[in-house]
Amino acid sequence: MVVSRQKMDWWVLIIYLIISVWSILTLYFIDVSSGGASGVWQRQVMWLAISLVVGFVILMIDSQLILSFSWLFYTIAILLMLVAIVQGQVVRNIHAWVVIGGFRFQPVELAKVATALITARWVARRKPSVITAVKGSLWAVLPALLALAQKDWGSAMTFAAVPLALTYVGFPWLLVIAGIALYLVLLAVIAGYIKYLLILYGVTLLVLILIFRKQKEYIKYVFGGVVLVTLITLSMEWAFTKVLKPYQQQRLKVLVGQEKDPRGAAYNVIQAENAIAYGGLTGTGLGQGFFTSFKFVPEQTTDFIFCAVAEETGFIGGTILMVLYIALILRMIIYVSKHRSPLVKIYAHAIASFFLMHILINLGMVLGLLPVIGIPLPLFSYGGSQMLSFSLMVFIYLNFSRERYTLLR
Amino acid sequence: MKKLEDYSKFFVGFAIAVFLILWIRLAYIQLYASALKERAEQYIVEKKVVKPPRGLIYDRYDSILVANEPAYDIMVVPARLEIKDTKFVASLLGLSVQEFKERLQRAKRYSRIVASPILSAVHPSHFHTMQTYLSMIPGFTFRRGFIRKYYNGHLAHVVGYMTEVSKEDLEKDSFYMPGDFIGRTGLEHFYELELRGQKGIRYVLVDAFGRERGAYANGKYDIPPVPGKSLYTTIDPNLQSFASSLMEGKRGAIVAIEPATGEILAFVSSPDFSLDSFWHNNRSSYYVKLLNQPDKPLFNRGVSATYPPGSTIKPLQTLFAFKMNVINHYTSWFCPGAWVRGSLTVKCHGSHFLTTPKEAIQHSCNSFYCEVFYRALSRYAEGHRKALMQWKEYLNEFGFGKKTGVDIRGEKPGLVPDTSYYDRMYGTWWKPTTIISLAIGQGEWLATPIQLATYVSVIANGGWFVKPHFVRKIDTFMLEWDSVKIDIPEKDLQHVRDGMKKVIEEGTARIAKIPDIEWAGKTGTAQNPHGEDHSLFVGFAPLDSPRIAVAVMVENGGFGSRWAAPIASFIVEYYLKGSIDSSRLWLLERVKQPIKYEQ
Repeated sequence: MVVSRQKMDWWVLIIYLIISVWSILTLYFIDVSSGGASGVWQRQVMWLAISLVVGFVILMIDSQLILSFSWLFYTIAILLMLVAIVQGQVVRNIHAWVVIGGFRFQPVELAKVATALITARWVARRKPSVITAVKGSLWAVLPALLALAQKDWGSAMTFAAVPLALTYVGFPWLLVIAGIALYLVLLAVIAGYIKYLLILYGVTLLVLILIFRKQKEYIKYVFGGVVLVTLITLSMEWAFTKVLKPYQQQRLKVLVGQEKDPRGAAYNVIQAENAIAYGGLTGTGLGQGFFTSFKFVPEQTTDFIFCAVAEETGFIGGTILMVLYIALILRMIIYVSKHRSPLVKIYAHAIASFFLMHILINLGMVLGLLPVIGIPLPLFSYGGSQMLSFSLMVFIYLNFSRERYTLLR
Repeated sequence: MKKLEDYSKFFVGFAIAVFLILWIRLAYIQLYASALKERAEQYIVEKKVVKPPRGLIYDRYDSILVANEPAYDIMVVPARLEIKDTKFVASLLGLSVQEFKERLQRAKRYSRIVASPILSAVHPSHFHTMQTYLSMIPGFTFRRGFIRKYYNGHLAHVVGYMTEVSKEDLEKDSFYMPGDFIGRTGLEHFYELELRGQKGIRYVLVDAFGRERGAYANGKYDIPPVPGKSLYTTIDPNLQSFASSLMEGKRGAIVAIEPATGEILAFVSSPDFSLDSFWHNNRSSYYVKLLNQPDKPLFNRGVSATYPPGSTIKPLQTLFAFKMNVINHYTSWFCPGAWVRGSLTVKCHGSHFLTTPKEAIQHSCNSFYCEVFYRALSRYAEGHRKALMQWKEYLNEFGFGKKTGVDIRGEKPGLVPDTSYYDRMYGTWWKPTTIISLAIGQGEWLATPIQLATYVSVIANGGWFVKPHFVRKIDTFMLEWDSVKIDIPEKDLQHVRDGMKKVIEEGTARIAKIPDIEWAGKTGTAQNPHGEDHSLFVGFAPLDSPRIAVAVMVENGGFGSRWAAPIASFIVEYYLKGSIDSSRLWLLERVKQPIKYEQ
């Protein structure tokens, strides 16, 4: 076995640092312009410092050691999530916090790293196949269910990152598409667009019949498929209107932005859009954002922090931040493509996928495309759990990235 | 068996698709959707109305009479309101809990998210204590405004009061908004359009709590308010105060006019009221109190009260008789103490032998005027109806029976009866004797004090009728007031003026004689079926080149010589000499006594 050390993926480290420092700058200007003394940016500096220290330690130890601990990580994360459910603190209606040594912490964030790690390790030891991929995805089921038990919808959804990543080893991508489609249909049903859905299905059916009119043998599948989808949609509608109690329906409607709740979710979305729209092309300038300075957008340091970026640095700033994120994701995927260890490749896909899911759900919400489900913007939102968790992901990746050959076995 | 690809094409494609969708959405919101940008601005840009300062009011010497003082409107935004202790807040605002809730309800009906006033025009002294507490309660905001400051306390009936706009005002004129004030009487009402100015608009940035956070676009779109125009009045403030002091404790009116110009020098309607109180916190209860007072202080007796003019119009009747050619300057008359025609007897005070008509004025001889009026009415072969209509038209020229057009609210036309009036009253059978009491200013004839003052101005002014007025100039714009020459031979006027001079020198108003001032006047006593007669006097001074004409009316004052004549003499003396001669101070003491009224 040749041991030839490969360079670490410095670009990812650089992008990581740019995003983290930008986050602190943004928090600093929010703090200063909106009266200051909230201590938010100072604490974020502290979290970044802790993350960097932890990251340095990770870079020091051997990757094999990390891998051998993956079982332990996973078990600890799951146990902590259980603790959070049983006796954790409730913040914003989410039972997801445990207090360790005076710090509040969300174990679900740790579970994401642990799941990425253990899934990568488990799948890498097996032959890549659909079965392997589907079985590997099961590692995400337990933490996702626990997150649901914590009423943390957003985090539960981010575990969809695992099957998404495993499309790399053969997870059927059609299933991913179907899952997304199902989610969108659910949103449409809750929003009361069932009529339009049914019309859409009818039109689709006609178009498909026209397309396949020459190949008669497919017609029955087409027909069966559309009927199945229609039945699923109708049963969703039935469940929504008949099984759920009116207040539950109400809550879901607010979630998809259908119900105008002036101080609730709808208010957040409107003010978020206002702040972003007010930014325009070049933004108002750092610390000059009117909506940001006067706290129009609730949660503007955490889940809605992108509003501050978009208002104060405009479309240009928002685009740069997006480019940084997509660069981070693609850089990891492309960098490991030359790597000969399947584990590193799968791991890179997994964490890239977690980044992607977070960004999709968070920016989708902030930009008014998806329902208001609170999850942080990776490395950017104020919060120690998120910062530490994504830093762990990145530094473990950096550790793996430099040892292209030792991991080959 | 599937080989590991270099990387997942699906994943990369998916990631790029996600970012593209998010990026396009960002571009849409920030670059394309102007409606979203407009909505964003609606949230933070508030259009605020800036109230202009109301026009000032000056006296005839360009000194200030009415100015503005900063005040505050207390506003509520119902949607943001969080009141824990309603009772405390209500008492802080000086309202009952009931009233407070009603006002809050009204504000809610107007808008839940826009601030509307709950208490307007709060005096700064009250405001500062209110602000201390109210600024701690979410939902209360404050707005700068103005209240009136009065430099002369005796101008209530001239300047007039202001109250908060009513629902009707709001519907009628879009200029007004809830909480605005509008002139209700006097000059404030008559010149409302000039005084109110134009409202300005200011665009300000407001935060999520509705607090102002600076100007929008550096005030580029702001429209500054245009202050109201100033009124330059004709009021002599010292004479006004002096005249008011003479009327204290009495009911009645004084109108003093500069005959040549029609400028009103002093205008008193008594009892008076306090304009300052209309700006106090308890203004509504003050208003109700005034309304319920039996002596009706809000009633403007100077222009709205009508009385029989009594003997004050005898000079006018003399002029009419000259015009009708039923007497000349040498007509003599023996008064036996009454005028008797058939079964009708009109009494006179004593018996006189008069050698000229002016002596009739001097002695206010009833029988002479009955005779003369009877002759005038019988002047035409076709009957008395034509003559009565001529008489009515003649009186109209002097300002009787119609509004003089004075520039304050509430003027009454009075009444000069004509043929159709008597036809309605009696049918067509009435005869000159039926209406003979018109000869001595009694009967159906009704006149306001301003009409009496205007009429005596005409006599003083060589027959020129000048519309009486309070305002000579608006900002820099001089007002032109109508004047009409009435066709009266100068020698007739001279004759009448001589008679009026004799009234003071050796006639019914000797008590009104002023050392060193030669002047003229005529007493009157208006019969009052409800109680003591009203005391009246009209006059002008100095005799040769009159500078002041005055009409005085004291309700239930008895003879004209008892109250009205001395009061008029003091007005004249004070205006022309600036002080009262020491020989007349005893009389001044006397006329300053209040009159005891039965409620």
